[in-house]
Amino acid sequence: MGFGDLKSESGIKSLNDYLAKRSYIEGYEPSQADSVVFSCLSGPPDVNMFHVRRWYNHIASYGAETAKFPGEKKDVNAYGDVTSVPAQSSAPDEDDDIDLFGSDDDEECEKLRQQRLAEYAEKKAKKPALIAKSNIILDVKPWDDETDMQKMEECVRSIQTDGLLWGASKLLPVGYGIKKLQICCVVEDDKVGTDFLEEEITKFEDYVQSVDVAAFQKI
Amino acid sequence: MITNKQLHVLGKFLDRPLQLVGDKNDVPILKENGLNVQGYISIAKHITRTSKQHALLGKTPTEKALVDQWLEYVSLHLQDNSETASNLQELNQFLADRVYLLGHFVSLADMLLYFTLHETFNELTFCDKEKYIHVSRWFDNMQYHHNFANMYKLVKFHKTLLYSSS
Repeated sequence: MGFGDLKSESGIKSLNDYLAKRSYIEGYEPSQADSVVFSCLSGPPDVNMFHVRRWYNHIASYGAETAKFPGEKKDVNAYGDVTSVPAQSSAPDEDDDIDLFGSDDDEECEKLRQQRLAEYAEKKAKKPALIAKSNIILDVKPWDDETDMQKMEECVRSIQTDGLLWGASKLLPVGYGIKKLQICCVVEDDKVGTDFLEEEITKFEDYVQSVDVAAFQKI
Repeated sequence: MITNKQLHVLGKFLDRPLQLVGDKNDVPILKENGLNVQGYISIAKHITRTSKQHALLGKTPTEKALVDQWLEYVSLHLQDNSETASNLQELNQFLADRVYLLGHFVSLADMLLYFTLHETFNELTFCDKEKYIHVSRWFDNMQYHHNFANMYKLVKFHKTLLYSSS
């Protein structure tokens, strides 16, 4: 029972949910229940809480008559329904009914669960994020035997992007005096893929005939 | 639709039994003390005015005008069942920040609107009732507060919200 702290946002929120389908706190006409809850509010509620706002304005329209509403005054925590209790409410449960579902246990379970979730999230946040990297060796084949290999290498190395680092390179003979460029690079897996590399390199079509991935290693 | 039945229920509520002349399809006529009052709204207003609860018509000229406006709304806009959805939508919006049609007190307009919407609400699904939450709240309050339950069947509403509010 109760709405929790009516001065806090969560209390107002639960009151708002409660009033969504009710015009008054109790029953179908203004009663002391309304004036008790009304006096617990610190002032007109926020515009977002339009159910509370509607009710607030309505009760406020009675002015001094609120004191003469029928019914008896009860503790503010005696109003509201069970489902609208916010988690942090410490109001004692005065309900004498036998609770078949053991809501106390449920509440504890829920609390424990929340705590564990929080711990887990904390642990996860502390763990340094591992950046997955790969070492790629590319075979770049020149257009023909007259291609300037130095120029080609410069072109390849001119490709710059975030997460890409060019490494050592060497020229390997293929045959008939033709050489290919074998170049090493380190990439961050999330940022650069082999498709991107191949595409970029083959753009220098004056120099490059084709690109192959010779080796691909996770670091 | 406003019907003769509703006028009788209203008469009973106001503790003011009435005799109507004219069968179902005719415009009803109220004969009283040599006075002829014709038409649903006119009769409703007449019996309210001459009863103890004449405050239902409003006290200030502004309130009276608003009651008249809503009576006209009820008689003009809520006769066509094909527009139920848009009418409910409209009322829902209007009642969002009001407890009654006129804000803070019950008026004859609330009564007649309740009578008129009763049939509609009887057929609404729980999902729809929740969709038009403001009208539902108003309706639920009306049916309990004024003890229409004896004369009209109670419409059931869920105590908890089942469908996520849109």
